[in-house]
Amino acid sequence: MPPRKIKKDPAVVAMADTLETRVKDLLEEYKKKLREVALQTAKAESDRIIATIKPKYRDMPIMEFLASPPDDFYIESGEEEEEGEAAVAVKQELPSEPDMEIDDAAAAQKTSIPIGQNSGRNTVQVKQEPEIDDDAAHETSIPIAPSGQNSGRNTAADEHRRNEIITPAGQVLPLPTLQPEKPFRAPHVDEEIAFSVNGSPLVLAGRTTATAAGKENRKKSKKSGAASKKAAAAAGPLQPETENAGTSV
Amino acid sequence: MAPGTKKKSDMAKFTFYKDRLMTFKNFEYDRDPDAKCTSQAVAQAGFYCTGPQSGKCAFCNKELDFDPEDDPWYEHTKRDEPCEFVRIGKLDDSELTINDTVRLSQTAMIMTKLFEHEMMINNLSNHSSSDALFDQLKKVPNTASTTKSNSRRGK
Repeated sequence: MPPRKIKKDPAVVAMADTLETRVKDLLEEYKKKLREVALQTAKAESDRIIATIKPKYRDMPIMEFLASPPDDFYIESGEEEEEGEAAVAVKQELPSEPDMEIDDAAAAQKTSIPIGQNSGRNTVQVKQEPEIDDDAAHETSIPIAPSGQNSGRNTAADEHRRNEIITPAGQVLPLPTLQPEKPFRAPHVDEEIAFSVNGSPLVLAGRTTATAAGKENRKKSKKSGAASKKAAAAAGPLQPETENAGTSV
Repeated sequence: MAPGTKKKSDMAKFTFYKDRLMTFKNFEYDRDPDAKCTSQAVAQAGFYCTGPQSGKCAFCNKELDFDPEDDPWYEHTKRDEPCEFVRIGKLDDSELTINDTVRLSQTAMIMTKLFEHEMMINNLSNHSSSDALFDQLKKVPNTASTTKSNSRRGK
């Protein structure tokens, strides 16, 4: 018995035949349009590139060009040179501009000094201004007393980068490296030196009574430290236990 | 970028005669001493090799099968489709100016892209025969009947 032929739906066949001619016509038309556009694009792109070449080189033989390409081949490079000269001329004119008067007293203080003498100081002032926006930094800023002791020390203008605090009396206190993620621990009763920075108790390393005393005391302080770690983690941000715990500088 | 520093890959491959001639490895008519249509003549006429007897113009995508007595340049010029290489009409590379070279290389690059697109269109055209379309139409679900069955109003 021969295999059965698959019956084709006549409506679908008619639809497919109609679509075939239309699709092929469309594709042929698309091909023609694409070729036209390609030729136009080639012409336009060639014109654009040739326009960037100096006219005197456009009719130069290509072999001569490949042997020794000229430096000033493109028009753009010449224009850039002109622009560069213009920019230099503008820059030379600029220093005469700061002569204008400014009513604001603060601004006048900055600009009253000629730029040639105070250009470095002006830049420092400009850099410092954004840091003032940080409230915490503003509160913890401690002025450095000008004295012979702080010469040669780390007296950076940025107070966060100082590794010591110099009191107005001239006493130098070393500052431990602060870890912002680790909260301050509460000072113990037996610790001698603790002072407050921004309201938080700060215990200076190596100044406790425990370290000065010996092994027994050190063991005790370790135990108490382990206990206080848990307590500190549970308590969150620490507050001074008593007002007498820290003494402000 | 300096003019001489352009990469070879960025430039049109067959702008120059030497590059076109390098594609002819086993051109059939090179063995025939009486043949006028040698690989040199075909390459000089703007064609690169696409087969033992055929070449294709790099600037208009025209592909021709040559006979031994054919003049490739004449065959190239007598076609209706416009060709930038024929328009410029300089068979010797030493006659080419910078202007000509820019136009030829740009045309060659865009014609390469056009050829890729034409191949895609031809592929699409092969898949749009009535049988192929019939198969595609059979796969489309009968949306009219499904919407009718899903309609609450019909129930």
